[in-house]
Amino acid sequence: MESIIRATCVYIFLLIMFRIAGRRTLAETSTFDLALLLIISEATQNAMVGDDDSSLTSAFLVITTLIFIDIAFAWLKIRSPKLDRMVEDQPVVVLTHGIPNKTLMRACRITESDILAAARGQEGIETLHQIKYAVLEANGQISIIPEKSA
Amino acid sequence: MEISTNPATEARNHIFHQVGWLAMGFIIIAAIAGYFGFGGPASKATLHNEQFTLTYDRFARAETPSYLFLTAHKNLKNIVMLLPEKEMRVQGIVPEGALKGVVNDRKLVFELDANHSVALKIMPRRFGVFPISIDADGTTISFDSLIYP
Repeated sequence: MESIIRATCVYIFLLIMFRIAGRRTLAETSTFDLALLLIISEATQNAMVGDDDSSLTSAFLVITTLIFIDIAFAWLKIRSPKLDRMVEDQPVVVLTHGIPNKTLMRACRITESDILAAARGQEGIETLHQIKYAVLEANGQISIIPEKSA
Repeated sequence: MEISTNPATEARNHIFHQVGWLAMGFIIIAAIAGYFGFGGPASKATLHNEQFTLTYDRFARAETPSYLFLTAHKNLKNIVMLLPEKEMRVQGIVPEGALKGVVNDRKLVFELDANHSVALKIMPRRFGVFPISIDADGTTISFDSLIYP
């Protein structure tokens, strides 16, 4: 029972922390983000398994619990848009017809450089004026819709 | 856009997923109930007789401490506990004074006054089903402990 409770607590805690941290956190894994991810996983491992329990059964139960909670959340989110909005961020249009929405961008912690980087990568776009919409997606990625496609 | 699809395979996969989710749900419920040890109402069992009460872990895990509590109902001069020698190792006894002697790391002899208890921290070393027996002044209780890997 303890493994299940520990895994559930860690899942909910991480869900809340990443919800607070925002969608851009760890969205694009830089070297430092990767190091941060490893530190988080190391810290959560001890919290989930505990000092005393190094059994195979405990590891299997923790994995089963985490995957099951994730499936249950996905199932509930489909059925409850309210829960979906609570748990997941919504897409945000941060740039319209080449004009960036500075307030939203500051709130979402993205810069014009981030938008341009996404634009170059996805569409080979060089300037902001060539972008019709830049959308910060729920998963933290920036989607670019070029002007020419309008 | 050409994507090869196989509705029969998709249907089979969907059933496979649903059965898997159901199985995961049952495993979690069983774990909460304590059937995989380490907490939960079913993980512990209690045995009584006129001499003593014994609480032990019915389900335990290898290389994870398991606990056994014995409470005497009357003065018991000679409590003999037989443990599987290779599969279980006693790591701690509280109070230590209750232990009178150990024979071959397998046979532990205790002495307890009425309404006093002794707690044992046992480390199972391998998985399997192992018998433990306790004899107190001629009355014996035996039980099996299931050790998960």
